[in-house]
Order: sequence, then structure tokens, then C-alpha cells
Amino acid sequence: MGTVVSFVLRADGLSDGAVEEAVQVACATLHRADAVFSTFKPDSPVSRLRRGEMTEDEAPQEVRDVLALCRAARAMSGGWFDPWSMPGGVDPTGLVKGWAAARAADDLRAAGVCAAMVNAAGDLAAFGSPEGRGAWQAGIVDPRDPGSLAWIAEVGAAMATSGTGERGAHVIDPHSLVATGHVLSATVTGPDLALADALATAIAAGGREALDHVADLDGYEALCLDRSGEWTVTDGFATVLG
Amino acid sequence: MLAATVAGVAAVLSYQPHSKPAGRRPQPAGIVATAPPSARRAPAGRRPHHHTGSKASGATRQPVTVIGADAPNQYGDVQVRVKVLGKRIVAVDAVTLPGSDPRSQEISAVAGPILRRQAIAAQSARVDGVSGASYTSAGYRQSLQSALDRLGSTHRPATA
Repeated sequence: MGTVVSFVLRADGLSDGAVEEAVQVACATLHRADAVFSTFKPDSPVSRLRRGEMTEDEAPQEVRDVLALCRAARAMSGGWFDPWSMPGGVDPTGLVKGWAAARAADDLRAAGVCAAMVNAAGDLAAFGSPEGRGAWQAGIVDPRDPGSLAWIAEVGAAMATSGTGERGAHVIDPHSLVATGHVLSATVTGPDLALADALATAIAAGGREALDHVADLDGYEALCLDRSGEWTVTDGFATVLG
Repeated sequence: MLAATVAGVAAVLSYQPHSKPAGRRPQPAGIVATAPPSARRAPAGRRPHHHTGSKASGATRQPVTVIGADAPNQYGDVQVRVKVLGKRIVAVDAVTLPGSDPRSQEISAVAGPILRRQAIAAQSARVDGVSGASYTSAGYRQSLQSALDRLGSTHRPATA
């Protein structure tokens, strides 16, 4: 199962060749993340870790980095994001896509791109701003009607959305280990896309209880839609809607 | 699962040519949904009680509904219903159109097509990207992000 990563960038001052090269580097980062973290590839380091064939200390540096972020996200979410309680062994999947998109954005910045937004299947990593405007803006999909937008909001550095959507209920409650379906969609903004991705996953599993934890965090804001059709936002999120 | 979704990644690259005069961009389609500043806080008199503890018992929280001021929009006025729950949490009940009953069914029926039209004109609404639950490559083709990528001033598929 593949997906598509979209890049929108300002190429001010860079040649076409330099932009091409920057995007190639960013794509290589995404492919490397897939090779290392895929739970579908039996020989990936994460698959070996899950089977107990490799300890965390023996894992590649980026796996250790990601697991450290997973621990941080578990604490920040009050346990609603917990890769260690997933069936089949530790599964950092709920954080990795955001982490990889953020690394890809870092590559673009390092290559001299002045502003860009990387969209990894709905998870956005951004820096700089579009020409003539102060902030990147994203539409947040209405999960009841994926052809329409429910909100438009400023992205800041990161925006991640998790929920049912195309693949149906796939978010697992780390406490009961059953797929939840109370939250249709959860969106988190903040300074770090890896953590925002994990926190969106946490709210998709834990609803308002998890959202309360996110509301307590500096720099992170959240919005979610529950099955009854009610949107809940942290009040800081209201300031970026518009 | 999500790590696997990076497999076979196809990069869709949209340039923003800086030579493009800002004035050529269509005007923004308008505010899709904005809680006006006056609506972001419940008036003190209508707040049932002050929420002090970060983990107060849920049973003591009483939602308050505040009707936000109309925000002009090219499709008509847009109104936002905001609920203030405790001190921090705000629930926003999507948008309604003038003359319609602010029930969620009507919100879906009325606001949906309007927002979809806005999404089609996403470039003019100045949406740079779309955030939603993960999609597969097949799902991408039907996604709003895909439509947005096609609207990019210049774009070309590139496979790394």
C-alpha cells in the first residue's frame, strides 16, 4: 500500500536543478523511513525489533530516536498513544509518517529552499510562508464527506490528522486493544509533526479525555469530530481557524 | 502501516513562482468557518462556573452555547455556533446558512456542497494543503489534495 507525498515550495533563488535535487534528497529520506520502519517488510529493523530479534540498543539510530519520541508522546497523551501496547510488538507507526515528513521538510530547508510544505497523506510539515502571506493554510477534511473541507486553519510548523476516513476504524484503544470508532477525525497542530501525528492518533483513540491532555501542552492545539457530529477544539485552535 | 504507506512514494511538486503578481490570484472565497473573537469566550454571565482544575470531574462541566456573529461570505453569511466547556475547551458546531435551522443534518446538507465548491476553488481560498485521515495511492486520486496538486501553478509528477 503506497501513498503520495505532495510538496509545495517556494523556489526563490534556486535553479530548477537545485530544487530537483532538494526534492530527490527529501524523497530518499522518505524511502529510507519506509525501509527502516515498515511493519510490512519482514526484514525491516522495526519488524526485527517486533519479533525480538533485535534489541532497542542494537537498532539503528533513527529507530532509537523515534522510540524516544514515542515515549515522550505516550507521556504527553496520558497514555493514549502507546506503541508498546499494540498487538504484535512495539509499533511506532502512529508517529513515523509525521516524523518522516518533518525530516523531508528539514532536507528541503537544508538545501536552501526558503519555504515549503510537505504533505504526507494528510500530515503536513511546513516552514517559511507562501509568497505574500504570513502562513501556510490547510483545509481540514470533513470525514463524513471527504470531498469537502470542514475547516481552514493555519498550519504553523505541523498539522496532523488521524481518524477513520478511507481505511475505516483502524485506531486501536491502547487500554482495551479494540478498534475505536467514537472519534471520526482528530487534528493536532504544534511545533513537531512527529509528536502532532502521535497526539492526533491518541485523540482518535481517546476522544475528549486525550484531547484534554493535549490542551495542557504548550504549543499544541487540537480539534476533533466525534460520532455525534460535534466538533471539539482547544481554545488555542480557534485562533488559527479562519 | 503508515510507514509502509511511504512505499512507492510519488512526489507531486508544486512550485510557487515568485514572479507571479499577487494581484492575479483570485480573491479569497471568504471565511469558511471562523469563530469571531466575541464568540470565542462565553459571556461571563452565561458561563455556568469557572473551570479551575485541569482534570475536574466531567460531570460538573456544563457546556454553554454561544451564537457567533455572522461572517460575510460570497455564498451568504456564515454563522458559527460555539460551545464553551469549562475554561479551555471549546466545541464549534460547524457552519450554517442564514434562514436554516442550525441542526447538524442541515449543516451537512447545506454546508457540505458549499464547502466542496470552496474546495474546488481551493486555490482562491488560499488553501496550500489538505489535512485528513491517511489515504492510499488509490485514495489520493480522489482526494482534495490531489485536486489541489492539479491546480498548482506548475506541477509535474516525479518518482524518486
